[in-house]
Amino acid sequence: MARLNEEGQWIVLMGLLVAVALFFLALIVNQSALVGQTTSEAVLEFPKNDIRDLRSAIFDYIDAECNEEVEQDIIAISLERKNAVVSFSVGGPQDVQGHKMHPVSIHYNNGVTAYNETTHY
Amino acid sequence: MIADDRAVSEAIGFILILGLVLTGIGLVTLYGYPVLVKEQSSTDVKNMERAMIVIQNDMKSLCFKNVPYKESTLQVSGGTLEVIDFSESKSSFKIKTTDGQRYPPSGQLKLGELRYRSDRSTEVITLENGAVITRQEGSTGSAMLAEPRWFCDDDPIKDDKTFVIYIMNVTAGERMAKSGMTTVRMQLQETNTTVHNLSPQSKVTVTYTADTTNDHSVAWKNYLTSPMVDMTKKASSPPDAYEISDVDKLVIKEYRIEILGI
Repeated sequence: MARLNEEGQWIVLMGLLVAVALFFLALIVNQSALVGQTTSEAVLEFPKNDIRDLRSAIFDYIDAECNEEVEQDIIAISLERKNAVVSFSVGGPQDVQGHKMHPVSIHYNNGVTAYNETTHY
Repeated sequence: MIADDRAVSEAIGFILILGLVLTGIGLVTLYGYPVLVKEQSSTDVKNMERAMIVIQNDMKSLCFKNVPYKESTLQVSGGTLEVIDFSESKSSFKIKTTDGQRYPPSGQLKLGELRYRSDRSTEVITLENGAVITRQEGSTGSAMLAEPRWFCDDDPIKDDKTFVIYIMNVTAGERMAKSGMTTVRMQLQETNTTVHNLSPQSKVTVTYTADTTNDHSVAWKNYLTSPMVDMTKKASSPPDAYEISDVDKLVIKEYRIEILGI
């Protein structure tokens, strides 16, 4: 019973170490539960292009002498195609550093992102 | 090594060691295995919660991003995923305004749903009207894991209040159920936008009628009364009615999503 060959013990020891390491790895993998997919969505889906499109449409609308029906169309199309509630107002021309410019207020909200801007065009 | 080997019996040593090993195996079978099974089923449910949110994101792509068709492959383990056509669903919504508009014009708005039922635990996960809702079978509570995108917009320029309601309707040609690897294929069938311009100080009421066998009224109450939607619950139960006041414009966008197969 005694006098066993003890030279292979390190293999068993390594086996134990690997088992313990695997156990902790499994614990870590288990922790990677539901990562906020909906929260990251808000960051990923900032509607930069939608807002740019809206701004350019509004500036075209000012160039075309502010037609009331065009305003209604912009609001309706934004709602239908981009799912965004938009609204804007254009004031009379003002003198800004020697240029005649219109004060423009823009409001955009698609439920995730709300954007407000006051600018001159 | 040891000079005196008296009173050392090989047989007794063997029996002792065997006894220890058998006791170990017995303990693991008795206590360890059930824990393992429980762990497995809770992992399955967690995976399915994630998969349902993936399907919800696909639906959002169909509705909000002008994508006509979407499919995603997912693993349904430890339970069954089923698709319920809107005509067979028992929960419903109804929208009314103080100006007399009704949506739908008559009857109730039935929505259809995707439902996962766990085999080993009591968890039921439902994708209903764009929301992922979880509940425990046999108890009254329910919780929303992922919310739909209803919102109330306060326009600072024109001082208007716009209330936007998104309705996501699920239709399926037949009742489908699946377990294991599935590919959920869906397409946008129809979109319908209704805009109501309301008179000043109008109120909008949303009524939710729960399915008595799969009651999500607590989840919808928490969502509709949250700051995002900001409605207040009216003293009527059941069905639960929620009210929002001073709405100038009510927008209802209804999407019909067809599940082609799972």
